[in-house]
Amino acid sequence: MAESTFDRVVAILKDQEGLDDVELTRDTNLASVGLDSMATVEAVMACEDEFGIEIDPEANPQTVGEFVDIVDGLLNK
Amino acid sequence: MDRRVVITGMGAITPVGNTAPQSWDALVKGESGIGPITAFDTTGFRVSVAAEVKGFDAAAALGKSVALHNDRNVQFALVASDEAMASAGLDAEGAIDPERLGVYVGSGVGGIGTTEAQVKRLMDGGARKVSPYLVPMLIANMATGQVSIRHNAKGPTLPVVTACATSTNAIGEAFRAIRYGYADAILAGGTEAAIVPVSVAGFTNCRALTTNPDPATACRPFDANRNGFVMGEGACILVLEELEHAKARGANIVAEVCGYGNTADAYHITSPDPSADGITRAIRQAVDEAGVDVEEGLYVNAHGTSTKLNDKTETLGLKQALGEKGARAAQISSTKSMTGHMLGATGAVEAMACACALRDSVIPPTIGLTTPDPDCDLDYTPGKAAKFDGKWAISTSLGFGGHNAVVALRRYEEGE
Repeated sequence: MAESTFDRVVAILKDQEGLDDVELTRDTNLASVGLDSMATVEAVMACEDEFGIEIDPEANPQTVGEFVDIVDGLLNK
Repeated sequence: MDRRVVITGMGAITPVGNTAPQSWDALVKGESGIGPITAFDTTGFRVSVAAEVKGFDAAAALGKSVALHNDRNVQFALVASDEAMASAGLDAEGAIDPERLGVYVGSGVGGIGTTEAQVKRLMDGGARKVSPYLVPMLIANMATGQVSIRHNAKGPTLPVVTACATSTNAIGEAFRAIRYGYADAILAGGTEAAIVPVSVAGFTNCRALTTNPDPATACRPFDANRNGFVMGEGACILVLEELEHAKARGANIVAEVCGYGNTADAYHITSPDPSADGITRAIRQAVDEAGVDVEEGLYVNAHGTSTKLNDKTETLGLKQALGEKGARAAQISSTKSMTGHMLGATGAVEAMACACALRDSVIPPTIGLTTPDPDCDLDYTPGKAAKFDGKWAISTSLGFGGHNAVVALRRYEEGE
């Protein structure tokens, strides 16, 4: 379950932000691969559409893992 | 010491070619870039033709991330800026002090395609659905912002917004900034990507665009049967550089920029003043500053939009500014007959045509001009290119809002 959410979030990050050639792990810092606050908001919006959830607009995940956990937390509610 | 300003680099992506040399070659050959609109379904639109850029793949040219987060107008500007920097040789390490390199790249309407798409998201899905990139993608200064980032240009920036006069003003202001010592080189020009439903509808309803569906006759500047302009798109960026700076690094000099005029009609939001007072004064300012002598040969790249009012008014303005004899001696053409009206990008393409005409001794034609109009009775170089051995060229631009801008160029002789 968690694995599948991770794969889907990574796919969104790669597709949305043009990170096709970048390896993303749970520990990857979003800023370190060029995802600034605007890019993070954009990815959050894409995840809302993908998973049919509403993420707190103030959510500010720092890593891919934190991002996945926010999505998983909402999916498991 | 009087600082002189020359053009040392050119970059363009236009409806007739995806580089500056390709665009210039097509203009000299009289090739039209006008065709049926492919960008969207024109069902329900009275206008069905435009001059679109062809075969442009932003992701391939700029990378996926840059393509995703920049409006099409900024994508065009980035591609043109790369070509301009490379052709000037300014992309080489240490070729210029970054703090002496400026960017003056304007746009008429900025990211209108992005705005249109995001308004739809707002209406369909509510406020949460609007992209965080809406604002940076729609603001009309972002071409200049992104070009300065891409080329580490830390000198003056000035993204002009004067509608269809935008990039003529940008080049004129860049000329002045270099001449008076504020920079050693400036990337100057304009960009536009407005062939989207909302702007085509808006330009149609303000009666600016032709509803003629035939690409071969839709745009015919100075022809008696002209009835509106054809929208174009693309970007053109010139490198203006101080002469001694250019010579010191062995740059290739295309032509000299030596005069600029900038006036307002103070008359109407979209119609040119029929007295042509504003454009007359702008032409006079540019030719006076440059010291243009029409007897030494003058090419005029006219604004020549193919609207009833513009072409008539502009003809009158040329006569008033140059004198009846001077206007009749000038060789004139409207390259919009091939590129369509690239709005904020058009002045830079036309200044480039002036520079290349001086360099190559040839004038691109006004195509589609077959039926003379008694109100437009000058030499507009109809049909095919003409030889040109003159020393001078001017490019005229008139924009919604009553803006008039003119730049004057001079042939550059080796060893000057």
